[in-house]
Amino acid sequence: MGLLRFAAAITVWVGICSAAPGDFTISLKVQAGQRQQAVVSGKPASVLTAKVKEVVWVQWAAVNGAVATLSDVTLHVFMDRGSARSDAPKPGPNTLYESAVILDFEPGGKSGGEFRMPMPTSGTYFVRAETIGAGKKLGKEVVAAMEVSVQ
Amino acid sequence: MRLIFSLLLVLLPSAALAEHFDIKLTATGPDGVAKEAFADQSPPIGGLNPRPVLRARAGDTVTIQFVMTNVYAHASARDAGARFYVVRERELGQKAVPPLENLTAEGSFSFNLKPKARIGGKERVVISQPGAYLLRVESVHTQRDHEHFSAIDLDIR
Repeated sequence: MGLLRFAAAITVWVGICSAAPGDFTISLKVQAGQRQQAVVSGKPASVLTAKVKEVVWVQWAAVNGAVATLSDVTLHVFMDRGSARSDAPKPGPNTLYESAVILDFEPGGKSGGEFRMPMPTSGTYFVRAETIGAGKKLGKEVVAAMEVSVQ
Repeated sequence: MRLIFSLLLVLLPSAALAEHFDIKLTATGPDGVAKEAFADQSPPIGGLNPRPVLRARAGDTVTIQFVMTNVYAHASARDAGARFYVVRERELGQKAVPPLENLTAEGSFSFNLKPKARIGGKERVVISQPGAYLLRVESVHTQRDHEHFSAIDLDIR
């Protein structure tokens, strides 16, 4: 996929993601071949299956539906080996992907991102997108997670 | 806190050349040898600075890591972004960015850019085919007359 299409896709993905009034929401979508799964924060992690060497395309979008501006929020995303059901997992030394963006989220403010990578070996992986710092105003951090089972 | 890795903690005390974006880009091979590059700007095509070259073998895992900081104190830009990619190039050091097709690795971010905003990323990339590759991270849609980037060549044998 060319980068223009790639960038356009994330723009569309961020654009269509919306939060219920009063909520800060993270949407997470993972695609492998023709298969895809999506999950929103507050919902249990779903599972996507992929094949070894298959390219996995991960997209996320965070939307501030709250009425307050959230300042200096870190939007942290990582992909690692393990189960998405782990409680508050941290990225390990061999994390496949990790990113962090420090942002102010005005009411209605959005941010998103994506990455593509081939899955190196079989096993269980997870993708987690989470806020760090939003809890100061929201009372809790916001998390969306998904498991990728590579066979 | 190790959580957000050293990315946002090791924030560019030094050598960046940009007037708008500080960028520090690092590529590290499996033997721990690392190459660093800092902010450059385009135009001119290919930027002003020669690119460092990291040598590795096909099948090696190369860890790429970057931190971008918006150091322009007065600028905010809505719907700005950043992206990174690894793409095969014709030869090491070539000025023109190759067509962005069949990318070996890629990622992007969209956000409303605020002064002092920081964006960091880290990815472990396995390049299975020998050849010359361009690793590049760049700002996009910052509503200025030029964008900033940082780049390293990967010589995969």
